[in-house]
Amino acid sequence: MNQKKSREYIRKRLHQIDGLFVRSEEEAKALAAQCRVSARVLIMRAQASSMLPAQNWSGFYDALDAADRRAAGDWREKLNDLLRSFRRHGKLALGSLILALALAFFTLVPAGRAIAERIFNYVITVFDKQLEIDQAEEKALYEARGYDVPDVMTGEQLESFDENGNLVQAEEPVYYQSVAEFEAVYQLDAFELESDQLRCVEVVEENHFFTGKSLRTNYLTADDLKVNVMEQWYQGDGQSVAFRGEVKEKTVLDDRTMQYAIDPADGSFDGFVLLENSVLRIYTDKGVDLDLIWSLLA
Amino acid sequence: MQEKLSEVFVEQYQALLGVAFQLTRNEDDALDLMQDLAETIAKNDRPANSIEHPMAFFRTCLRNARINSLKKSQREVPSEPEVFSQIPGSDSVESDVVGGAAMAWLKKELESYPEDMREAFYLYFFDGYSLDEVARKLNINKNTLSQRFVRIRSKLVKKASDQSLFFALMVLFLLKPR
Repeated sequence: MNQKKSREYIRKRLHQIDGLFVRSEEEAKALAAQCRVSARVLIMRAQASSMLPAQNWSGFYDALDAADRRAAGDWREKLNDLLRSFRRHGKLALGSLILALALAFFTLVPAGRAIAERIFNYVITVFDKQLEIDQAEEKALYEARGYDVPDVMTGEQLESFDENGNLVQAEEPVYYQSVAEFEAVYQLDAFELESDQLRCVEVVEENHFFTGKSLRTNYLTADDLKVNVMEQWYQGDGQSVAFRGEVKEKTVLDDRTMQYAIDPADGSFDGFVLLENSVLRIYTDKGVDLDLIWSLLA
Repeated sequence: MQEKLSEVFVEQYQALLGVAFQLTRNEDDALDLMQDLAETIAKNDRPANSIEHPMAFFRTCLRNARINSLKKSQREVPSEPEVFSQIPGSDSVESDVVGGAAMAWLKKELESYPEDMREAFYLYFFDGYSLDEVARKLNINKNTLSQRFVRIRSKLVKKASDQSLFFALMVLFLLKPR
C-alpha cells in the first residue's frame, strides 16, 4: 500500500474513526446524487437567508448561467472552458503546442522538410566521418602535434588479420610444380639451381607477416643429399644472419659476395648472399660437392 | 477572465454536496452546510488561483462549519443517520472486517495525538491538502508529518494483513464440513 492508496483507504473509512463523519464517502456520494436541490436553488436559499448584498452573489449566478449555457451546448462557453483549461495547465499546453507546431513544420512544410533533411544528412555525415577516419590522416595529425606515431599499415598488412581481428603471421604454404610456375604467378625472377646432378623435389612459397614472401626450393643429389635454396623478398627493416662455424666469403653471381660457413658439428654448408631485390640462402647436407654449388653460382 | 471561487463551487457542486453528506445525518443539514459554504464564498468571491487548493479549502470550510454547528447545538439528537436503500456497496464482507479492525486501531491512535496533529490528519486525509501544504498551514515540520503518516500506513498494512489472515482462517473453520 503506497501513500496514495493509504490516503484513499483511510478517506473511505473516516466514518469508522471519528464521529464527525457519519457515513462513508461512497454512501455520501450516492445520497448527493439523489438530492433534488439544484445548485441554483441552493444559492437562492443561501442568498435569501443571508444579509449580504445582491452583488456578492452575482458571481454564483454568472457561473450558474454559464453552466446552463454549457449544458445547452453553447460554443462560447465551450471556448471559455477550453481557455480556462489552457490557463490551468498553461505550461504543459504551451509546450505541447510548440512541439506540435515544430513537428508540423518539419514534416508538413516543404521548407521545414528540407531543413530536417539537411540536419539528418549532417548528423549522418558526422557519424560516418567518425567511423571512417583514415589512418594516414590520423598519423599526420598526431605527428603534427609532436607525437611519435608508428607507420600506418598497408592494405596488404591490414589484410593479414583474420575475421576475428587476430594477426595472421604466416599463411599456409603454397606448393608449385616448378620455379617457373611460381615466376609466372608473381612475375618475379626467382633463383634456380639448374644442374643435371640435382633433382628438384619441392618448390614452396611461404608468406610471413614480417619477413614477406619467400620461395624455398629443395633439391636432392644423386645420393639423396639435400640442397635447399631459400630466396626471400624481404620487406622488413633489417635481418640478422647467424652462422655456426667460421664465416668465409666467396665472390659469386657477378661480383656478389657470399658469406658462408661449414658447421663444425655436422659439416653442413650454409651460405648467404644479397641479390638485387632479394636475399638468397643456400643450405646443403654434409657431403654435397661444394664445387658443384660454386659452379652453379658462378 | 480568471475563474472565481463561486465558479468552482458551481462546477463542483455535486462533489461538495457529497462531502456535506459525509458530515451530516440528513439532507437538510447537508444543505445547510452547503449554504454556509456559499455564504463564506460570497463574502469574498476572489479568483480561485489566489487559493492554493480550492477544493481542499472548501472541504475544510465544510468540516469547520459542521464542527461549529455541533458546538452551537451543544448536543446532537441521537438518531441513526439517514440512509439510502439503493446505495451500492463495493466493500466485501472481508474488507469490512479487515477495515473495521484497522480503523479501530487508527481511531485509538488518533485519540492519542495532540490537537495540531489530529488537524493535520484531517487536512491531509479528508480535505486533500498535500503534505507540504499541511506542514505550511500548521507550521509543523514536514518530516515529522511524513514520518507520522508513514507509521500509520505501515501499521495499517500490518493490521490489515494480520486481520486478513485471521479472517481467512475463520472462513476455513466455518466452512469445514462437520
